[in-house]
Amino acid sequence: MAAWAGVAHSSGSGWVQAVGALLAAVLLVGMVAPVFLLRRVSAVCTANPSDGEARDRVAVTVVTDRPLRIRPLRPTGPVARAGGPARGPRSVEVELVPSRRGVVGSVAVELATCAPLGLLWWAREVEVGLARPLHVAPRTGRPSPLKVGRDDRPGGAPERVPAGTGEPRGVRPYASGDPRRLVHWPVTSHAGKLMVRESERQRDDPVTVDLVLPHDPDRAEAAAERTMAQITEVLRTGHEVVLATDEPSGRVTRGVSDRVDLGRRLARAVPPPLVGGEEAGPVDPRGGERR
Amino acid sequence: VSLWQRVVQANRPGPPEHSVPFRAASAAAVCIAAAACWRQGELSAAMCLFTIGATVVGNVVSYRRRARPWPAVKPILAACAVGGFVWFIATVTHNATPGDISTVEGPLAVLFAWVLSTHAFDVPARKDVAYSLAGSAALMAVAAAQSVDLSLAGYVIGWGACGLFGLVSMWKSIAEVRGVPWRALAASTLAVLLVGAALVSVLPAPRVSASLIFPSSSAGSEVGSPSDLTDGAASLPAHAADPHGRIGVGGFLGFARSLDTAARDTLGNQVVLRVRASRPNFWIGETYDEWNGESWLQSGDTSGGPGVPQLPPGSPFTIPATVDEAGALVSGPPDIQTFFLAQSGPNLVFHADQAQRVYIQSRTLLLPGDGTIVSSTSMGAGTVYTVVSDDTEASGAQLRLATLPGWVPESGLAPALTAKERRNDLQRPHPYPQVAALARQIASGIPTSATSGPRTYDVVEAVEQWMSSHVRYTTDIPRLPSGADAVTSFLFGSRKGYCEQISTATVVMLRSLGIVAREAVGYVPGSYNPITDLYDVEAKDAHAWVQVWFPGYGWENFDPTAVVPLANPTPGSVFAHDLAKSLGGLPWIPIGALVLGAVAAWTLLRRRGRRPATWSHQVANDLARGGARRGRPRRAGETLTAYGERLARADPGGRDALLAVTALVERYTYGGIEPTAEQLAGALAFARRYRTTGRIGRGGRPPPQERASANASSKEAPAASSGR
Repeated sequence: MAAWAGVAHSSGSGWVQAVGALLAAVLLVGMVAPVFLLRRVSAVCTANPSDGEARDRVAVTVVTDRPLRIRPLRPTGPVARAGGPARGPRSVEVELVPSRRGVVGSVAVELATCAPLGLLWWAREVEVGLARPLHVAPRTGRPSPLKVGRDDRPGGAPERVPAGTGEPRGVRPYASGDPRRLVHWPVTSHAGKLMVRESERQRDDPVTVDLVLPHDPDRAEAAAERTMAQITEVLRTGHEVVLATDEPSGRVTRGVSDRVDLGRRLARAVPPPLVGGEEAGPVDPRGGERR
Repeated sequence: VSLWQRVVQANRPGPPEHSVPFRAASAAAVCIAAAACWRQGELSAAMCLFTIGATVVGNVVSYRRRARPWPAVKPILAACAVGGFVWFIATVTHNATPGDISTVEGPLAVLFAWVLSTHAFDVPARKDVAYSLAGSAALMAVAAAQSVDLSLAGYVIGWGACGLFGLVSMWKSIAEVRGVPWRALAASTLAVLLVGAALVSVLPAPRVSASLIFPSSSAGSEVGSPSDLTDGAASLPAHAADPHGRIGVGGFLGFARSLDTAARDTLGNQVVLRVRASRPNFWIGETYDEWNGESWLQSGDTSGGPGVPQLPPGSPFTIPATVDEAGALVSGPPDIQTFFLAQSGPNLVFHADQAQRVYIQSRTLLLPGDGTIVSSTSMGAGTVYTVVSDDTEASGAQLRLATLPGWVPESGLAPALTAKERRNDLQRPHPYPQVAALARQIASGIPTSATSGPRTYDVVEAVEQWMSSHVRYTTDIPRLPSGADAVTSFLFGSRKGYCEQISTATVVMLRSLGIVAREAVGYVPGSYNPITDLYDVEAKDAHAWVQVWFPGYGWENFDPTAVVPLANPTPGSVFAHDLAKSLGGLPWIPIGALVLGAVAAWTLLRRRGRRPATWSHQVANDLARGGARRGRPRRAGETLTAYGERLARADPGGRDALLAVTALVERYTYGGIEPTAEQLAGALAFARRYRTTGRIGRGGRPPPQERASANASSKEAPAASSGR
């Protein structure tokens, strides 16, 4: 444009200058207008899942009021385009790929537009609050061999708990979902309503996992992944698990009901606070987890 | 990433462009640019048609093959491009004149058109289409460089519209937008127009460069014999071709052997010529030295061919400088003027003073010796010629010194006026005693030194000053009676006249004081067009002024009429002036009434749109506004009942009324229970009061039903009463 202006100015041709001014105006509008459009743009997350897994894709729904290019920055993710009609709100599925576990309350995204002439992209980083916290569980790592010992403490009969299989415990009224084969017909005929057999098994002491994460993020992530795999295996065997972790609010020791709950607990887990410059608590040299 | 990888990455074919509007707009922009070049004579009709056809066909082919472009097309197009460049170099080498850009523009336009035409067959991706769109700007630039009038405006508007639509379509394609983004299109168009107008206004006016020579082609045919243009004399081209020696250009009869100050047609507004000049100036046509009381005549031997010097044939013609013109002034930048004749005119070569070179397609030029330059070629519409002048103005101080007794020019040369010329330029048909007395009276007021009388420059200024204060400019003057002297009638009669009367009277007054002066006619700059960078000289811009001889400086121009502004206009001021003039001519009263009506209608519609749908909305809105005034705006998602309770906590005096009203609204909204007319009126009145008054306190009145229940409640529990 400078060369054009120079030629127009030195050649004395007014039309060249006028056409050059038109071109310059197009370039100027094309390069500057996205800035003003970006200042007025809004992006709101309207829906997102509560749980996800590190390095796995999680789709969140973002509503914007104009066409945009959305690039998740923290956590990262592939570029999404909010196309559709020229005016009005439109929703777009933005995929996030969290690299680490954690609780994600908001997502830093880069909103970019080249409207209205498509000449130059301008981008702005905004923090979009999620509709609900996203718990990013660690990936399921390789479980380390874990020997679950039997409770050999002396004492009375161990506590027994209802179970689908095991020794007969008694009967109880039929509940929706009970298998038909469990109906105890004699008692049913006696009681006048459907009764089913109930079994019980010996209740074990829960497996207690005391997780102390190291402060090194990579080691902490690896420890969380191993813990995830380990406890998942334990849960699969039917044992109860009590997990002790450090959370921002303090030390939490609570049972883990299922894999989702486990993922959330590990997502919230943080290294213990430093005491005198050293990590508090015992640390397993293999990765920080101990039982 | 290495440089080579970057180059490879930049040249990697992009994804296919699927947007048909983008392609169509790009192709249309190229076609319009080609048509503009054809209109300006830069492209032949055949080349223009080829460009348009190839562009359309090429884009169709490219669109159909966008996913799988032919591998062979790129080498073929590269060969075509190389061939085009070779042809361009060869053409320019053989035909172009060094320094004359006009001889390059034609081949350049053909080269651009050729490249764009062939490139249209290989535009599969978005960036290719964008290149095509951007390339059309080069064609438009070539067309714009040749345009001297506003006929290009249509092409520029069409090209700009296609370009903008194409860019918006490109954005649509990038952003995956559906539908036509009318708002974006309108907003971007408006923004581009505003910014473009601002840039045109702000940017300095294009300046004529001394290094470029402007077109010197002529649309007129070279005459076989100078006698073809004469009015009887065989050897000298006349200024006019009719037997009376007059030619009317837009009504002006001055460009002839004589200037009759008693005759004047109504001068029109038609553009007679357009001038691109380094600076505004007096563009002189011819001068007169002999005054007969009614008309100016040329005393020179205009009919004797041998007495009129001819310049050697061949453009550019070099005008020999007079002795005085080679005098004391430091030469400044040359004043390059290019004249585009819009109408046929006299074969006078208009020019600024002290012309040095003339570029014109003429066999020869003749110099009668009075500052006039005459062409031997007919000067029809479309004639273009360029004059380079070294018009360096002397300052007032220099001119004052020039007439001091014993002053010797710095050039050391003697005055160039011969005795005959001096005698002619002091000629009067009769002594003009009244005029001389008036001139002496004017000159007597000039302070003089003991050694010399009033200086010439001061006298001229004094006469000009007298004219400005004693003469009224008008073109509506009665015809001069037969036998009357024009100067005497003007100065001692009505003192009304126009440039011819004013300048003639000035010349006669100066001559009566012994000052060498003569009458000059020509054109002054008309309105300046910032788009074309041309002065549009209209017929009414024909002008007469005074030339006074100063030893060492030659003839200096003075304009006693002083009605022509000579300030160099800026595009911004011209744009603002034209805009103000255009706006001032609009019928503002009807427009104002229309705007007011539109605003009133818009306001009514907006208020109607905001009107609550039902009485419950009205009540809810009133409560929300009243609460907001009290610093408790309604929260998002808060039910009216909850909101009413929150307001009631802050305003216990109106608690019952608030709760009653909110209950009434919720019963109606969710239970479908219609309130009675009295309840409705009460609720509305309460809500309105709540909205308009700061606090309701104890004055709050619930609707009748609730008031009854409140009364009942007060009977049962006086302590809970509102204290009414």
